[in-house]
Amino acid sequence: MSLSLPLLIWTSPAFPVGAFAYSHGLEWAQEAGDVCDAESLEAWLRDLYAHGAPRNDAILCAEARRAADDPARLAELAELAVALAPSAERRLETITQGNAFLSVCAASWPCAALDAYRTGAGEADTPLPVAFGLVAGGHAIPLRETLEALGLGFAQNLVSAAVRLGILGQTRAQAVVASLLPAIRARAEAAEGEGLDDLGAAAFRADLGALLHETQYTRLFRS
Amino acid sequence: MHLPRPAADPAPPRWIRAAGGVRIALGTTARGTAPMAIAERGGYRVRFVRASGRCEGVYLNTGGGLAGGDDLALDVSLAPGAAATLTTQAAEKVYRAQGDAATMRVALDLGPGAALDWLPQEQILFEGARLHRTIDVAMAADARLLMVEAAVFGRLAMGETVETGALRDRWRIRRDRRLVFAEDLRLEGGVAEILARPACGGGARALATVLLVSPDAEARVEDARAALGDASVESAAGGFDGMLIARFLSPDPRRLRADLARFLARLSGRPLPRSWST
Repeated sequence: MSLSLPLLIWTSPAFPVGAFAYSHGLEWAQEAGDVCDAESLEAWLRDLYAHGAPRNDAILCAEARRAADDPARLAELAELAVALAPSAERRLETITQGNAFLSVCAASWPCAALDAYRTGAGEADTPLPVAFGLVAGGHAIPLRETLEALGLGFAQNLVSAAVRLGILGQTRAQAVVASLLPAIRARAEAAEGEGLDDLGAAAFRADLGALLHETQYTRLFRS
Repeated sequence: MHLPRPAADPAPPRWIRAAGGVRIALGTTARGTAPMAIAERGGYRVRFVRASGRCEGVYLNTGGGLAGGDDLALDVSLAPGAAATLTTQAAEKVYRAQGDAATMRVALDLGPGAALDWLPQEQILFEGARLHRTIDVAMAADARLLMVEAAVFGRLAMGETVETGALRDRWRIRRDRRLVFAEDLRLEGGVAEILARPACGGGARALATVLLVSPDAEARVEDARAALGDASVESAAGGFDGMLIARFLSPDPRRLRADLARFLARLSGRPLPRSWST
């Protein structure tokens, strides 16, 4: 079997982690007028890959992939990943998806690394990038492909959210995903050589928007 | 005619650069919180005053700013039940770094029931400035910490802009030994270009983050949001896991400072240190 097939499964919208419920603040960005069409959506997502949560997520996922057989290290990474989420909703977004990812994988993609982690971590929350890296490591999926898949999953979910918000149509949405591939690949390549000292973000307005979304009057999404 | 280009400023030799800092131990006495021990190194000082009955320390940098290669360490420990406010005499200027970045290491240790308002004035980064800062907090579960950090890129009144530079700011807050909050700000390279991007700064030149870690922090969120209702700059507040966070962003550093000062006074429940208004 090709090693990359599991990645297609894990990042499919059919994989039940509840990604559809989260917009990562996109719903507020639309309300604020920052994102209103394909061009502004693409620009917003490019900023996130270069300076926002997906940048740090790639670093955290890479570290988890390397430490897949070290439950104590994984627990530290999970704690750090939770602490880095800058708002209540962003914490919910990454924790509920990560916890769901692990529990679905425990049933459908068991591996020794996951067993050992779940035995040690107990009820501790595991954010998505750490969960994803752990399971990918448990199945010996190559690091670069793992990071590309995590990054692509983020883009696909947010572009799908943008379609549901009426920001753009389904066909334009796929053109945005296609145009983001170089940014996704670049982020994955960079994260291969980075560690926790390289964590860092500058998506200040996205973080501000994550807080403002909490009091947005009408909302489709939980973030 | 071919004019000679002005020579670049040579980097100062390493031995001129300042390595220093201040270490403070605060304890409780019959007359309230007071410094039990102070150790000052390099050009850094702290002066204590009593403001409205509260122990208030004001940091001074006799060197007048941070240059590349400078290393500043600020250590503070609060004994159980101690309560104090710490601030700076002035906004800290960070000058162009010729070689290494300036580094600043802050370590705050709050014992059970201790309360610290960490309210330094803003950092002003000049063109080419590079600052790497870390803030490590270890606090008891029932301790209370209100902290702010604000950064301004260029002096607006002087018409300055900051095209390139670096600001890296790493916060790690541990409450009862558990990491509860982490932030890694990383603004490096084309600062103006990054700050212009819609999801980054949207044209901002000043930013600030306020964090309250306290057993009652989440109960204060509604009040904090109400306080931001009449802010003139982009701002928002929220709460989670025994913390309240508020963020401010603006192209206008003066307006941001005014909104920030009002907000901090309301959240702390007392007037800001006098140095903030001079």
